[in-house]
Amino acid sequence: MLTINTFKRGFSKGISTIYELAKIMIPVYLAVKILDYSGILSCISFIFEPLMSLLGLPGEASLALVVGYAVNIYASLGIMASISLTVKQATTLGIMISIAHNLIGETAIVKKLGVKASIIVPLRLFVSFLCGFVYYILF
Amino acid sequence: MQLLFNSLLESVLAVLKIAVIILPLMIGIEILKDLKIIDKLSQLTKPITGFLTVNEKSNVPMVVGLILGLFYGAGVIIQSIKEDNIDRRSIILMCVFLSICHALFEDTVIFAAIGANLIPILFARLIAAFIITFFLSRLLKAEEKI
Repeated sequence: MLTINTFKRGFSKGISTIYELAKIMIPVYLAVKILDYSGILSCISFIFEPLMSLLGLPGEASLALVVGYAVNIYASLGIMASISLTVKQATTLGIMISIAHNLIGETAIVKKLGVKASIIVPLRLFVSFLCGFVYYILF
Repeated sequence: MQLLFNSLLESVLAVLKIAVIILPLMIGIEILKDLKIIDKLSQLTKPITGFLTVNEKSNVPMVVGLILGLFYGAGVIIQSIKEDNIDRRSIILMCVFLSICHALFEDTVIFAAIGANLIPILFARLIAAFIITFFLSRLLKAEEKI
């Protein structure tokens, strides 16, 4: 049954998602700008450039990947928004991070159902890199 | 200081860009839930679960996970383990599928909101989850444990 409560629930879920998003994305965005300003970002970029170029990504993208894998999508969105990316680069990152993200939190859920972390984490990372690479090569 | 202020403004704008997509999406998902469309959609995944040789009772958790996310999917899986006695092999296959591919709409649109292409992200995940689960389903014998 569709009632006014359906819309209320949807609205409040939307607002709480946006709140969670803002809480993580804004500080991460600012942190990256500070890293950029202080020159640390270009060091990180320089170190990871060779690896990231295999996926057609700039070196800074390594930060978005690592943070996405370890923390969550929202945090990596903050980084992606603060660095300049082409549509293709954003899509490659989007594919990679949407496949593997929040590995600590999500693996805990899957473990509850009896699937080993030592299988699911490497699997997701492997699929993430593979899909990113295939997309970069094919399109 | 100017830099920090500008960055703050930019980041708030980025959040707003995502917000205008997330809000209608969340309302839309609640409508799907209340109209029981999620249960009906589980009929559509039958050929998929059949092909992956997953227990046919797994259709509801699969659709819930795909649409609402891993957390909700896992909740329904736990419930259906109690009620329907789903075998361990099916649970493992479902977990692998859903951990690669879940909250399909939400995760995809938020990347699209900051400039990524929607379609490749959507299909890359679905296809990857399908292929990986397919191989695993042929590897895993009925009683084997992961």
